[in-house]
Amino acid sequence: MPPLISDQCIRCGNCYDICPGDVFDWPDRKKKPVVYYPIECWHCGACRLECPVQGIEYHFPLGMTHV
Amino acid sequence: MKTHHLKADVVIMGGGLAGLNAAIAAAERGTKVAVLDKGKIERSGNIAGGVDHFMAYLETGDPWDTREAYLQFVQEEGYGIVNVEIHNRVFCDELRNAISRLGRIGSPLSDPKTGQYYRTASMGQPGPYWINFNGKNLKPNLAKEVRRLGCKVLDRVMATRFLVSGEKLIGVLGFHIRTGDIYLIECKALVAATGNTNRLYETPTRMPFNTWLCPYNTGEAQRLALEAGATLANMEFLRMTIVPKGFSAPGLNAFTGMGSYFINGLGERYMSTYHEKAEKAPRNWLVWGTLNELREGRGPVFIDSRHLPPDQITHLKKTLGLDKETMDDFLKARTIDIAKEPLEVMVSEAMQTGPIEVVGSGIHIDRNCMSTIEGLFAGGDCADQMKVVHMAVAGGYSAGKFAAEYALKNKFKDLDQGQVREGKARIVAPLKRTKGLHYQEVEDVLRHIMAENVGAFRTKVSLETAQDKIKALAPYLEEIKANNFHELMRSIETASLIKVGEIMTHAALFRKESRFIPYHYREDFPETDNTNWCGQVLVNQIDGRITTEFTPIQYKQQVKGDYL
Repeated sequence: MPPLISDQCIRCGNCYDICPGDVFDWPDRKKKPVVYYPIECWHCGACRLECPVQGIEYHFPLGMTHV
Repeated sequence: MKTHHLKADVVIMGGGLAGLNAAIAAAERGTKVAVLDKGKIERSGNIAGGVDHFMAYLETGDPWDTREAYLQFVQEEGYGIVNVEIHNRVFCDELRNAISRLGRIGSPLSDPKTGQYYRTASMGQPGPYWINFNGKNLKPNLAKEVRRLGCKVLDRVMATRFLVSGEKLIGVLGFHIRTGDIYLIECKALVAATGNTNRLYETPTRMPFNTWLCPYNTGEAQRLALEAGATLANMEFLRMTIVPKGFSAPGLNAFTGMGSYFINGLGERYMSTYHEKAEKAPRNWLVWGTLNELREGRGPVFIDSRHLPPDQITHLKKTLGLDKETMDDFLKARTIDIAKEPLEVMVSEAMQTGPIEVVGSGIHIDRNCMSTIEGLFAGGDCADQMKVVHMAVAGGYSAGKFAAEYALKNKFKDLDQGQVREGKARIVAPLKRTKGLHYQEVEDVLRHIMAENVGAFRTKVSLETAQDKIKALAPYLEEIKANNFHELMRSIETASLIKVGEIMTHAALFRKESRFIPYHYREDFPETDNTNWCGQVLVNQIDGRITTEFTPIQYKQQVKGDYL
C-alpha cells in the first residue's frame, strides 16, 4: 500500500511533518517514520515532494491498477 | 490535554487555497490573524500536491475575454443558483490583484520564461478561459507569505465548535490532532474555508480515500456553521467527474482542453449525441453522457488522445502531473501510454460541492462574504457562491478582506462558559469510551446510503429512504470509540459527514425539478423548471431539525453595466 519509505530515507521526518492526512507516525526518531494509516493515503504526493532524497516510493494497490 | 487560550482579530478555519488567500488579505489590513488547519498549511487541502489550471478573463481585446462576457458565461452556466452580483464583487473585483499576487509570491500564471499564458477552452467556455500554469509550489509559496506576514499558524489544529453570542460569532474551539491540546480562540471574525465534502459517497474502487478531491475535506465548516445558526444553500447538488479507471484524480479539463475524445466500447465518439459542444461541454454533461453510455451497456469508456500532435501530448502529460503529482506513476503502473492507446476512464464518486465551476454550495454568503451569522464569513468551496481554484484565490482574498474590515470595527465579546464546557466535552467524548465502534464502520454505511439513494438518479422515495436510514444511523455517532487523537479527528469528521449527508438529502427532496443533470437529477421531476425553481434552496437547523425554504433569483437577459 502507498507510499513506501525506501532505504534511502535519511530520517528527516519531512513526510511525517507534511502529510495532509496525518497517515505517518514516527514513534522512534532513530528509525524511519512509518506509514501508519496506509488506507487513508490520498496519493497526493506531498510526502514525496517534500522528501530531500528519493525516500518515498508509490505503490498502488491492485484495486487501483488492475480494475 | 492542556488548554491554550488565545485571541485573534480574525481566525481562518482551513489553511487551503482559499484560507491562505484570506489570511493574506486580513494580515495586509493590519489585523491579528490565526490560521487553523488539520494538516500543515504548506501542503494541505485540495491542491496539497499542486494544481495546473486557473480560470480567468484577461481583457486581451477578444470579445469573449472581457469581464462582461465572462459574467454572461457565469450567468448562463450557473443559471438558477448563481448570484452574478456577488460573483462580480468577490471574484472580478479581485481578479487582477489575484493574478499579480500569484506572480509576486513565485507561482505566476504565465510562463516565467516567455511571459505568455497557455490558455485552453473546455467546460462550455466561450473562449479559452483556462490558464495552464505550474502550481506545484503554489501552496508552499502562499504559506511562506502567510508566515512572513506574521499570522499565527496553528498546524494540525481541528476546529470543532463555533462559539456564539446571540447571532454573532465570537470564538472557536478546537484541538491538536497529535498532542490532544485544546485550543480556545476568541475572535472578532472568522473565515470558514474548509472546502467541499468528500468521503461522503461510496467510491468506484470501494476505497474511501481514493477520491477525486481531498478526502480530508469533510464538511466541518458546513456543519459548524449550521449548528451555530447560519444558513446553507445549494446543498442539494452533488458533483462527479470522469477519472482514469482505478484512480479518482483531477485532470479531466487537461484532456478536454487539449482536444481528447471520449469513445465508448463500440469505438464511437458519443458526447456529440448529448451536447452540441461534445467534449467541450460543461462537466455535468460529460458525466451525464458517460453515465448513460455505461447504463445502456456501451462500456467500457475511454478517453482517446492518439490524434493529438506530439507537442500537445507532451504538454498534456506535463500538465496532468502538475494537477496530480502521482498521475505519471499511476499510468506507468497501469502500463498506459496516452499517446499510443486510449485511457479507460470511469465516473468518479460524488461529493458535496457547487455543481459548476462558477457557483458553489455551502455557507450562504452576502456581497461581503458574510453568512447570516454576524462575524462568520466564508470563502472558497465551502461558500455557496465560490468554486474551484480561481475563486479560492480571488474570492478567498475577498473573504479575508471583508472579515478584516469587520473585525477592525468590532470588539471581543465575553465567552459563554457553558458553550466552552459543552464544546470541550464533545471533543473528548470518543476518547473516554472504553469500547465502541470504529469510525469507519459508521462512515461506510453512510457512503452506501448516499450512493444508493442520493446519487445521480434520485426520486422522492429514494431520498425519503435515505432520510430514514441516516436518522437511524446518526445515534451510532455516540458509540464511536477513538483510540488516539488521530482517530478522534476522524470520528469528528464522521459526524460532519453524517450532517452533510442529512442536509443534502433534505435539500434534494425539497427541489422538485432537475438542474445541472446529473448533479441534481430527480427522475420524478426530470425537467428544469425555471418558472418555479429559479433560485436557491436555503437550509437551516432549528431546534435540531433541518428546515428548507426557497429564495428566488432574478436574472437580466444580458449581463450589462448594472453589475459592473
